[in-house]
Amino acid sequence: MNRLAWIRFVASRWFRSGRKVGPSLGPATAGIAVGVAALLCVIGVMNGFQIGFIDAVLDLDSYHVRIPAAGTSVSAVLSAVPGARAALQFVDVRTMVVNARGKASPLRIKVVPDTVMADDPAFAGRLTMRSGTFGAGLAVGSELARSLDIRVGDMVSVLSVQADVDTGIDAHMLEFTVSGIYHCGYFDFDAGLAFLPSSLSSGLDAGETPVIGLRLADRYDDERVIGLLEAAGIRGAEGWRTYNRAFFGALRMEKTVMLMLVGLIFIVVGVNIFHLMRKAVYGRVDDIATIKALGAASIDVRRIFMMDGIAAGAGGAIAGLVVGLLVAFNINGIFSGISAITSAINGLAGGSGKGLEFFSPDLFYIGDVPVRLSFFEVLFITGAGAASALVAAWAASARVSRIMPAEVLRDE
Amino acid sequence: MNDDVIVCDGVRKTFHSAAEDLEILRGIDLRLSSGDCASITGPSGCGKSTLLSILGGLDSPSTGRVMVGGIELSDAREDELSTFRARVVGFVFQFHYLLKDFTALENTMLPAFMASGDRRDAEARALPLLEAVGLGDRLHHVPSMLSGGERQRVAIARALINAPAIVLADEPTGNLDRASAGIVEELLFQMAATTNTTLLVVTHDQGMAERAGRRFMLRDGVLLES
Repeated sequence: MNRLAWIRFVASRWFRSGRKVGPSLGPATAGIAVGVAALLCVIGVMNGFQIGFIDAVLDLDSYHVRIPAAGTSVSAVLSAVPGARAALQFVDVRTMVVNARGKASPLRIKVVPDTVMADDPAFAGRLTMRSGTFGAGLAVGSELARSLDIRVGDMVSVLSVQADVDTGIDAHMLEFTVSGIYHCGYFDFDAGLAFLPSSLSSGLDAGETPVIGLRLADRYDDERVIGLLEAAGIRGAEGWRTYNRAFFGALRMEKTVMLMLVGLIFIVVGVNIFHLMRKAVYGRVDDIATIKALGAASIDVRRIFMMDGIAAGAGGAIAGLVVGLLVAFNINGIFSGISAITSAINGLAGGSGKGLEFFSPDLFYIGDVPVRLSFFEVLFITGAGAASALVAAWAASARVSRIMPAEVLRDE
Repeated sequence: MNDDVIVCDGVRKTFHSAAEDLEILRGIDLRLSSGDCASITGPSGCGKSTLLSILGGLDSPSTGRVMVGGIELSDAREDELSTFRARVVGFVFQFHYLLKDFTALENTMLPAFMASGDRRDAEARALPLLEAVGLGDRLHHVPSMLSGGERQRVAIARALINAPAIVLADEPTGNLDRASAGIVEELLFQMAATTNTTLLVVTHDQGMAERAGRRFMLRDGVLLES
């Protein structure tokens, strides 16, 4: 027997005539839609920034697995890890850079192989040169170049410090030509990380510990690869999630807290639906008692109200999904449109004609708002929106079980 | 008798309140056979509707045994009572209690739809019933577009759609004018006789009560057959 058939029939009729017995669920449905759309936009933008940062860190700096170079070699690492995308040896040097006018700034110089651009496509893809090239000298970030007023071809001085138990500390300045200015979009790198081909290091990296960076086809394969390396006798390897755990942990915490805060919308909407549906149950006491007298079980009557909840939840969640995805993936166009409109209004009003700038380059270190959404996040957010209505409907319909037909139907 | 469809043995019902315990039914014994037409009369508040609710599985006795249509109601679970109400009994109340958002056809077919899950079959069974109660031209009218007598006729059709063994009618003409009451009364007795349904009517109308083959009076919580 198809019990759902008559439940759907009654639910659809009651849903259509809902306003006669109680307030409409329309505003609550709209609330779910707003919640889902807001969460999708917020999480999409947060993902965009976070994944952008993570990609920049992994592509330019930390790699997927880091292995101390002492006692091993790039070729040994590559033979131990079949299918690795790239492996190269580098040295990180923490120092100070001084421009021609004596203005200094802290800097980390990564001394990399001369062939890094050919050997590591991910590195080459991320190191977008704004001017000049990589390979003929020091490549500095765009923010450092701006703050020290450095241009391609300029000479800069870099502090080189070597310490030895016998000879003591030897600090001197090394001169390097700036061959290129890059921009990766991650402020910390653009302001404080430079790249230098190892053939031009002039001994800057002397005494520093070299590291082999390994790039994998799947970054989440790092744990297995570390096992492979250990099996091949290569010790001390560290995965990217461990090496960057403080930074990535902060990013995850930020996202989780934001998800919870915006997710409070669903609790508010759920409570709203709960109260509305309780009113609907009160408004339909006679009808509920009647269909129970005709043979409906309490659970079937609850299912009728659950259908209302499903309709409100699914309707709101789907509407929010559509709106959220449209807004999220067109957010730059929407900001540009608003900027153009406000600019036109300002011009017509006799102003300067300057429109509203959401992310002015003067204030923010971004040109465009990046957006990234995973299928599971979209599914989770949309499901949570729909579930809030469902749970509220289930709780609100609990009273149905307590409606006694004999008491209701005798007292007309 | 093995064809008894309603069996009550020593049924008592007490309503508890903070102020007092009110015993409405004080040991009801009743047996009705298949096809019996019976009436119960008695003063207001004497417990007629309560007895009917107990027989219909809408209420439970405080003590005593109730077996209706071969089903022991005294200790039945809620789902068993729901199935019992859907398949064994049909109700006609003083107030029609039609679903206000549903047409006459939809109200009539709903119990069959609930029992079978087949809407077309339910509609096919509802149509001749509504024709039989003279509402063939009112199929798609909602209750607010029907007169009191017409609503009660829809309620009778609804009570009969699952071909129940028993129809329990609680003051079915109590809210109707004389002409409408006559039509409803005639329909109820005629259709019960045609389908060999056991009919138990609670009424204040002496004429209607005397039309039943077996007549009972409920007074001071005790049921007496006259």
